[in-house]
Amino acid sequence: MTAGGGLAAQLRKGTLAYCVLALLARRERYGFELVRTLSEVDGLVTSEGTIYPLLSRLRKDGYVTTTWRDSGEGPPRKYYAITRQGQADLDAFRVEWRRFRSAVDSLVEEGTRS
Amino acid sequence: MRPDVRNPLVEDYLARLRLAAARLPRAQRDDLVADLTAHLDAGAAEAGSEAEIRNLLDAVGDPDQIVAEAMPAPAVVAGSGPSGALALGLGVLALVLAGVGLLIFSIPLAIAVIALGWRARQYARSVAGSAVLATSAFVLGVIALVLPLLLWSVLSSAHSDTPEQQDQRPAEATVPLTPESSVSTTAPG
Repeated sequence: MTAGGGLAAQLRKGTLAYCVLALLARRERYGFELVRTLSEVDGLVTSEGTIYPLLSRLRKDGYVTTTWRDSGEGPPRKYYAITRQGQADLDAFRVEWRRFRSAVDSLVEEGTRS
Repeated sequence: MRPDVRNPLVEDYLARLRLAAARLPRAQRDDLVADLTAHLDAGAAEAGSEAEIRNLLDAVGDPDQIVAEAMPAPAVVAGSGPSGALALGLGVLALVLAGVGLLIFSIPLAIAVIALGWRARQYARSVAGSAVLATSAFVLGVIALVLPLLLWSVLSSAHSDTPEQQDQRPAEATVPLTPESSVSTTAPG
C-alpha cells in the first residue's frame, strides 16, 4: 500500500463532486469563481481544468443547472446552481460522510494515541 | 473579458486543447472548449504579467488529462451499466433455443447477448467491477451463434442424402401452384 499522491487522488475522486455541490448550495457561482474557490482548498484540486468535465456531468445528471447572466463588463457568464436532486444527494452524502469519518477516525486516530 | 487579441500563451494552450479534444463526442467537446476558453479569458484579464499567465495555465493543467476526464464514462455521483448477469441469463436462453433448433429466436438473441456482454465487460472494467459474468455471457453468445450454424450445415447435408425429402412434398402437392400445372394434370392424354 502506498500513501501520498495515489491516496489523495482516490479520496479526491470520491468527494470532489460533493464539494462542488456544497459550494453551490450556499449560492450560485460562475465557473471561474467556483474553480478558484475550490482550488484555494489545499490538496482538493490538482488540475483546475478537470472541474469543467465534472460540472458537465453534474449538469447532465441533473444535480446542477446553468444560467447565462450578464457580467456588466465582458461577456455573459455561465452560472451554476444546485438542483433539488443535487441538494438531496448532498444531504445524503453529509450523513454518510459523518458516519464514515467517525468510523475511520475511531480506528486511525486511536492508533496514534496508544 | 473576451479579448480582441489573446495572449499567445493562452492561444497556444487553446490550440492544444482543441487538438486533444478532437476525440471527444461533439457535445462534450464544444462544452469543454467553451468552458475553458471562458475560464482562461477571465483569468488572463486578471493576470498582470506573463508569469501570472503561466501560473494560470499551469493551474488549469494538461489538456490531455482534462480531455481524459471528459470522456463519456459512468457518472461520478451514481452510475449504472449493463448487467453481466442479465447477459449471462440471455446467453443460456439463446443456447437452449439453439439446441432445440429454434434458430429464428436463438440467432438474434445470441447477437444481442454478444453485444450486451461486450458492453457489460467494458463497463465492468471502467468501474473496476467483475467482468467474469459478462465475459461468460459473451462466450455463451458466440457459442449460441455458432452452434445453430453448425447444426444447420450438418442437418442440411444429412437431409439431402435421405429419401425423406419425398415425404415432405404432399403438403405442397395438394394445392396446385400454377394454372399450367392444373391444366397439365387435367389435360386429356
